[in-house]
Amino acid sequence: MKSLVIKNLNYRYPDGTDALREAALAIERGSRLALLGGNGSGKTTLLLHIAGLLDGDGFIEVMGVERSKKTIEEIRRRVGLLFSQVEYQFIMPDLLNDIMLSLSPFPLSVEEKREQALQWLRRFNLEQYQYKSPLDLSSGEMKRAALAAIVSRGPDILLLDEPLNNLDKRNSMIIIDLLRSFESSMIIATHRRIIVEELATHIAVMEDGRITGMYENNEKPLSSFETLLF
Amino acid sequence: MLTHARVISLFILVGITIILTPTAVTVAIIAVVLCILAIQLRIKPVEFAKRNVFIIVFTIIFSSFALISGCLSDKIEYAQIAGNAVKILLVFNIVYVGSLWAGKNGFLCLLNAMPFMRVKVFFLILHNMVLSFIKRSGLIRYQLTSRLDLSRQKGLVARYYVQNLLMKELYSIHLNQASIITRLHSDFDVYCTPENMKISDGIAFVMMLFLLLIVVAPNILAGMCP
Repeated sequence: MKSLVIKNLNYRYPDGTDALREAALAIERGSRLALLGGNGSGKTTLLLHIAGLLDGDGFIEVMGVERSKKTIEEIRRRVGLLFSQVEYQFIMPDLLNDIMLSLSPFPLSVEEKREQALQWLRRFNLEQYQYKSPLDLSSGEMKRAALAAIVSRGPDILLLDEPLNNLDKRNSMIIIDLLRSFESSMIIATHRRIIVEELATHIAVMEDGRITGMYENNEKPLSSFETLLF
Repeated sequence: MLTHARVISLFILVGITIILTPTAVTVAIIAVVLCILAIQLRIKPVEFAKRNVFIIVFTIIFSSFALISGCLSDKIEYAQIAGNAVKILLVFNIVYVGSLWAGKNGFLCLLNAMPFMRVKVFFLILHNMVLSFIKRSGLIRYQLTSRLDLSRQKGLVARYYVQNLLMKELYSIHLNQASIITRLHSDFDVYCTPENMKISDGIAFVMMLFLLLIVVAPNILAGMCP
């Protein structure tokens, strides 16, 4: 079953830039798609559309639910978006409350939510920072904390915009290992080779707001994407 | 419970300062309470003075304008101008020391008390904006001092830097809102860390009770029996 279907998606920013032109994409449930493309090719704009933050013309279906004004809230609930600048993603003043906020749709008491939030923090090796402001963490810890806040909601599709931004190899591997442990479908906008090598099951290439190619990983040698990865 | 008491005390202190004309007794008691809290919070006198520089300058300018407008209308009310100046200084310091006293838990307690989710979200955005701006203020200062070199006619660069800074702030608010849209779908609960009461907390509460008894109660009684 497809977890995401996009057809003929067009979007023009208010300044007149055509960011998406007839973009089309379909991914299977559980697959991890690396979305490659140069700067300004429309990767982030596409992710913002899937997350329900932008509203271009075209067809978007998430887990069998077609996007419309009535279903936009449901789609937002089913999708988790990790920003490239994660420092703006935190809402609450400390880590524990930030994870608890993600658990707010679940019918649990405050104490139960706290217990679950602590379990997530333990899983991401962040328990010692539970009362700390997320803005006081290092880049790697901040990325893990933001990811914990997203996945704790249990989204069906994870959208990750440059998840390894500002991370060294050790922290990159920690994030990749954590991502591997989730069953959600993923779309990862990236320029990092390590994601394609270690995590992605599929690769899509974007150019000028269009998806120009979609491949299974290993279908093509990585050298064919040389200019898009480092 | 302790956090609630701290937050309520702060509201009472600010309320008394704003509503009543500050008498010598009120000022003295509030000053003692602030000193006790400053000692508990280990605020250094230099730090305290630094934080007060801006508000002292503001108070002087505010009072000067009040004097000028009094001169123009031939009716200078020295007592009122002085009273307002004291009120501004007291309220600022109550908010400054009090926000450190109540801390993050105090903010969370206030959030919990707010009746509507939209109001909570508004205060969260405001809090995040102020916090991130304060955290980045050092970097902003370094950038400005490195570029603001008028001897090399770089004033123009600094001007555009300030414009870009404002745009960046607006962009960060936009990202924060986007995060709230994608992450927040229903009302949320807040967990406050349990805290232990200290001796200084007790002294501060007793002083405030004393203030209520000797300053507020007579005013209320005078209002009831004119």
